[in-house]
Amino acid sequence: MFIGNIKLIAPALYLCAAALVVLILGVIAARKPGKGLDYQLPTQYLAPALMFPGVVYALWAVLESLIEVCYTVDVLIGYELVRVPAVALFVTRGGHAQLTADPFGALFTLVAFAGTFIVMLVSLDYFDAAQPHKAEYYSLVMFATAAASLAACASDLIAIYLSIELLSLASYVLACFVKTDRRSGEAGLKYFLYGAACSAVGLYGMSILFGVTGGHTSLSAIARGLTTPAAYSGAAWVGIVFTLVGFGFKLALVPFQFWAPDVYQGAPTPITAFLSVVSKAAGLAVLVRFLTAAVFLFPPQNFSWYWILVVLTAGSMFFGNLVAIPQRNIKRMLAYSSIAQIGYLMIGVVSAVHAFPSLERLVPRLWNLPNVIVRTRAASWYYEPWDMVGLVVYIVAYMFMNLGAFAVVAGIGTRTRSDAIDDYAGLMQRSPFLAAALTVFLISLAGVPPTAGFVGKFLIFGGAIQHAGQNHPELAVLAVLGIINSIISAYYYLNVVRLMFFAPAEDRPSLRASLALNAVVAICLVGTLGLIAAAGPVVDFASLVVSGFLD
Amino acid sequence: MAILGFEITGYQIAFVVLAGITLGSAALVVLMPNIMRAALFLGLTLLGVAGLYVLMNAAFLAAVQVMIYVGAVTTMIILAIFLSHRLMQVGFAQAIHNPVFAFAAAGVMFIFLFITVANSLWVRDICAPGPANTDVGVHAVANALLQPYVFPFELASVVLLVALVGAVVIAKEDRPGEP
Repeated sequence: MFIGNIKLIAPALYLCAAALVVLILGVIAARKPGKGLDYQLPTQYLAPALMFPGVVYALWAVLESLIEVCYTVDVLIGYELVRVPAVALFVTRGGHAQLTADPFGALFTLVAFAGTFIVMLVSLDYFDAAQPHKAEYYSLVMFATAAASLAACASDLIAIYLSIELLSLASYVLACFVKTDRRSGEAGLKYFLYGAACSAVGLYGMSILFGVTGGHTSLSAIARGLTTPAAYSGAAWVGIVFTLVGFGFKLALVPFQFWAPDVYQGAPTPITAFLSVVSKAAGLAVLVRFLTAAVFLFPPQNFSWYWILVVLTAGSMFFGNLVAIPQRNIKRMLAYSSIAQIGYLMIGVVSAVHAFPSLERLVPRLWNLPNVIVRTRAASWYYEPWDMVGLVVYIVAYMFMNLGAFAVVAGIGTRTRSDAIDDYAGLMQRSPFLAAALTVFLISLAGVPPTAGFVGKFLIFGGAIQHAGQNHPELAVLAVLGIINSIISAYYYLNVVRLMFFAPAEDRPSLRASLALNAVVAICLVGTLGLIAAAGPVVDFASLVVSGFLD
Repeated sequence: MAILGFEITGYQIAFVVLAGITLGSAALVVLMPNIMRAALFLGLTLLGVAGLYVLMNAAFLAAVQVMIYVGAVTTMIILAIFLSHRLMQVGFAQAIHNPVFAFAAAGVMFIFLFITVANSLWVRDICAPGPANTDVGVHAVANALLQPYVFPFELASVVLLVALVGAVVIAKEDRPGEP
């Protein structure tokens, strides 16, 4: 049976296999906890040990796909030779491109893998060795990450839906993993009910889109279907908007954000970190691919759903930041802040859709490059505008700073048994390292200069302003709103910093961080502070990543 | 057969009967105070949908609908009702807290979808390179599942595995000293 070019999905396959190993060995070991197999091969250490080669492999896959983009192929379309970058496609028999293993997908895979590795280290600190069902916990996290990496590459509606659903199912279970905690159960149930409803709406939209564009599931076939008058029909509108509802739920974009605060607060903190970074990165990758590959083939401002996206972007930023201000629980505050962060990322998406690819470039993605004439080394694929570059840089920065913040919150939460912001008072005296690290992460989330968050925001807002010059005033407005929101957000981020440094500690004992927690916080600190030092190469790298996606 | 001057075919009669069964029992699912009866009417609704599939020449889909939805899903719902004692007690009623608002929202949604879908252009096979594939039987489904869609087909098995593991984790009673 011909399945396809397995090598292109090898990172996800590796992770599924590793998850099975963890599950089987872990369940056997759990029969005699603390001795026998569990003593020699503790599941909680086995899982990150298997995850780390996956991260390295994902990094290698990014480099490999970048090398691939440096080649071009000449493709015969009709009677015309078209030169396109060579993008590796996972094609099943019959020429259906299920996945596009371009550098963009590979980079989001890397973000998901690295994020999960960090989440696993946080889990080591958060749960003790006697954690019930630890084999199931780590294997579910690994399955969810495999799903996120597949979603980042998926270019077929069925593949997109199934990988998102796999990610969601694992997340529902993980959210209610602490069965002794009522809030955790509430989080899992709420997430499940809202998630099922939104995913049903999304699936309904996909089926309408499938019907209105001529009965094909591939994104490029849908793109071709939408070049006909079908694009302007009501059914296409309903299909696209409903599909966006499904993706918007995963992102916690504003009208679909209602689940986020309760789930973020109730779920175990490492899982909250996972949901806010890995799950959102997957949703964002799917959204960008759906918008740029399938929907926006024409000047997007002609379509009402573009304006819906613009309004949702502004709404997410304002809602997230304004509601975050009065929060007394730090996990809830970070939940609202991540709603706002998605708003900033959406500015990048909204301006990236103006760099819509031409129809000819999409054709070879569909039919497995059947008419390749020549494969040559490309002179240069270098993507100049900043929009997508900013998106890629910001998601990497967001991974480091948000995971770092959640790592500190998880570490302090397990030690003080409290997530209340008031209990962060005087943290500077109790744990100088964690307090200083949390300060850096929060400053970076606010986008203050010497941090990674600043680089990302600078590129995203700059990209929006670049495009605004070409008759798109709404992008300039969004950039200005983004800057205003960064200032609003600085208020509640810096409030935590003020408490940590200037409020009295009320004579509490100092906190001792474990090795795993210190390692995680150090990794995230290096990422958050190092990104600006390497800003030039990073931007070059990111524009190379994006070039294979849009050209 | 002509009624009131209109020519009516057997197909149309079958459609009206099946649609009536589907809609009527769907309404009863919502309106029945007893949740057990509501579940049974849900089974009837799903059977009506299966009948509509037969009318649309999709016999395989109809068989799948009967096996999965009528057979498995409805049975699971009834099982779940049996297992939760509180729901089986006499006098437990389905609660519809705000019927006016609920019906208004459903009605607005229906009118909106009806208007957009009815006024739309449905493109047929603009992308297919060859002649349109009219084989919708079991062979076509099998070919589609194991050739072009083999990747989602395999992915679905992982989804099922994760669902199983998750169900075990949630359902298992944790006793102290036992993993």
